[in-house]
Amino acid sequence: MDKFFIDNLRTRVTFAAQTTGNRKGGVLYMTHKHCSMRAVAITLALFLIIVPGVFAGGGQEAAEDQVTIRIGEHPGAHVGPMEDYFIPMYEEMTGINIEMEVLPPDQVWQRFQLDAPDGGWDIGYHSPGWFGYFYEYVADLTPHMDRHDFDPYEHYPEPVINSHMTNELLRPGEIIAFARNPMSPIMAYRQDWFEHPDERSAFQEEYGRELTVPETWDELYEVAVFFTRSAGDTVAGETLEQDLYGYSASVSEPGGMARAFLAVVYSMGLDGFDDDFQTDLDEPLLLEGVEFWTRLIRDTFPEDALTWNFLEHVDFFAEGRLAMSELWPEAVLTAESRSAAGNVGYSTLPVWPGNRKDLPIGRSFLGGGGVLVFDTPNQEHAYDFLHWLLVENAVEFTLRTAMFALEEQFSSDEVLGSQDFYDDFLPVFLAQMEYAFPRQPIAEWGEVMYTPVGQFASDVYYGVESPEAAQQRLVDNMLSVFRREGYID
Amino acid sequence: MSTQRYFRPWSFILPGALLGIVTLGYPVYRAIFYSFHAVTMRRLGEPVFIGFENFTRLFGDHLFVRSIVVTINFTLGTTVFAVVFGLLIASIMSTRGIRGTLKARFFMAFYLVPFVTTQVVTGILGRLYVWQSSYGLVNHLLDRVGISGPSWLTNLDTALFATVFTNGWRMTPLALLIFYAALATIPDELVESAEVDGASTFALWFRIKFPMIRFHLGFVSLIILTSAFREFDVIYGLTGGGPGRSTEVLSILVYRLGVAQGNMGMANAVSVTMLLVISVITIIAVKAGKLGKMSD
Repeated sequence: MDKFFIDNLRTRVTFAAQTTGNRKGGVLYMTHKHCSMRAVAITLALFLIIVPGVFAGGGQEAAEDQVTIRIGEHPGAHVGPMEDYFIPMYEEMTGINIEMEVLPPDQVWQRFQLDAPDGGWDIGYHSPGWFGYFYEYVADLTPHMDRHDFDPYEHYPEPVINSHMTNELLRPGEIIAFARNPMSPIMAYRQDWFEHPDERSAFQEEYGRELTVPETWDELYEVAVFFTRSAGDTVAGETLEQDLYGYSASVSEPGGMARAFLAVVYSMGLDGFDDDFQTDLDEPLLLEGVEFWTRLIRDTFPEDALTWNFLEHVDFFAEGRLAMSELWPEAVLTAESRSAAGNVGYSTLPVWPGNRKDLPIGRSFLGGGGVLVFDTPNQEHAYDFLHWLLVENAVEFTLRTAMFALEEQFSSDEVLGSQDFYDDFLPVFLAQMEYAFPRQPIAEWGEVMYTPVGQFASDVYYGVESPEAAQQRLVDNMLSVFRREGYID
Repeated sequence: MSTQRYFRPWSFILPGALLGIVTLGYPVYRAIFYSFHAVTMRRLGEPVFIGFENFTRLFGDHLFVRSIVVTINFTLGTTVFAVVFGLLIASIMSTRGIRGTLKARFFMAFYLVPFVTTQVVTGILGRLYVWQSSYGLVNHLLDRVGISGPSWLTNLDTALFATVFTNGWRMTPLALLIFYAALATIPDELVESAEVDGASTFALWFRIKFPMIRFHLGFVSLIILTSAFREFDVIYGLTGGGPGRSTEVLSILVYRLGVAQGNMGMANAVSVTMLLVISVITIIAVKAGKLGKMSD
């Protein structure tokens, strides 16, 4: 042991004892024996730290050959089957390790935006509205599809490719993602209640026409009001234990409100903005739409719908507390459960008479999503996994998730035979998709349409601003973003 | 020697000061920098200088002013709630006969749960199980006494109250801990002799206890005030700023502008405003409450 160190230590301990007046300070004198023991302890500690490190280093070398694919996912019906069935099977087949993290819905794009530059994810959930936030870091799937001799144009409906798999503005000429569950909302209703003689005669008496599935938004309002009843009343001959509501969507602000209200905006034939970045949201028609929407929520939605996030209202429908419901197709298994099971009818969204595009049915945007591959060293493995999952096992994937994207998934006998309701549900699903609005492929779509439109509807509903003032705010925000990005002068 | 005596304390402070400059000073500098620029989250590296335009737009927007009012109400409500209840519980807990008993110690540990629970979890649990209109705890209890509770979180008139209550409940244990420790330092002899002299409970509190814990009162109020002023997690989990912006405090506005809409320039302008406001409040509180003399 270094004599200088010992002397120095002794001096300092003595000094400490003296300055603090500690009469027992002398007891603290370090002896050579104490110091030796201390040295042994330090050596032992270093040994215990270093040795496992050495072995771990060896292990690390071996681990470098181990491919690990990191997936950032959106919650949904696919998560369970992927975790429990597909991923374990693929890991066993290939020896590749797959780590999947399910991110909160409102954080998915933010995480990708933050992590993608550092290669944090190999595969990510794809929503066309979010693509602009991290498009630079996404791999072009075309060469990988060529490797597998897979031509997407032979397998996916064209609107799906245009909306979910390409982005001609940001990544021209490339395939940027696999569509997995492209969809546009339809309407579900309680067929048994609509067909019940008591309900039909009561409706005929009250409104002077037959009770039919609503074909226009005004009819929807009327029927929804008709079915909105208090506990103790009856529906289809049965006494209600809880309040019944006519129609609902999940309209928490601003995301839920945006998702649901955009169905009214697009049904009116408004686009938000055109190819020259000229907006049509300054039209008086929008005020008509928001007035209707406010009335519909106030008179027919359960109050809790204002706090519900995506698809939460479908549980309410399944429990027999809603007569009609907005239905994003991926929630069909929920809709067809509990007291609603086997009693669900499906319809396209109602038309907005006099809409600016002469649409024969109502429509919303083409939503749902897909999966993309990030530009990482693992991209080949990542693509291979997705190809295996979504193309080679397409039918099995749909049987387990009720998600549809490829044409063979819609037409497979195995799929069609797997659920009784598919015969009614799938034609409506496809018909609605045919008219779905493909979102404009600019990076700022969420900034100018999704969030502000949801906030607009919420502000009007809650009376935060007059409809005119809220509309002006919506338009001003859009123009300000377009100017900032140089789209307009 | 004298030079060494002068510089030596600074050498002790230096590592912490450097760490502070890096972790606090630099973000504050960037926030101020961005607040004078048009910049989006997607293009953080391409800011365009626009002078005071972000601030002009903010202060010309009635929704921003509304957000300031909501923040003031939320902050004061939380502070009053936590301080009053913290003091009340601490005074009960420090009463002779209760203080130091097993029950008191158990209750103290139990009461710390809200404070150590993750804030966003507090918010989400509050939304799902406490304030939910049909099966939530509050309406269930009200129902038991024959009162039909409102839809707390979807009603413009009640959402802020529910938010203040939840955050106040979360902050109360902090006040309780400090007040309990402060009250425990008051010598029993002092209280007993006042009682022997015939001092009423009122006189006992206002002549003896309050003067002896006044610094703690000021300190706790300031801590809770500043914490509530920048609160985000609980509100986001509970109401997300709604309904109808009725709980949209400034921190939620920062999130909406910066993260949801990607407008980092405007979001940082709000942040800088918050920084200025909280700095002024803190300086006034420290001066007025003479908190700087606590250690004297």
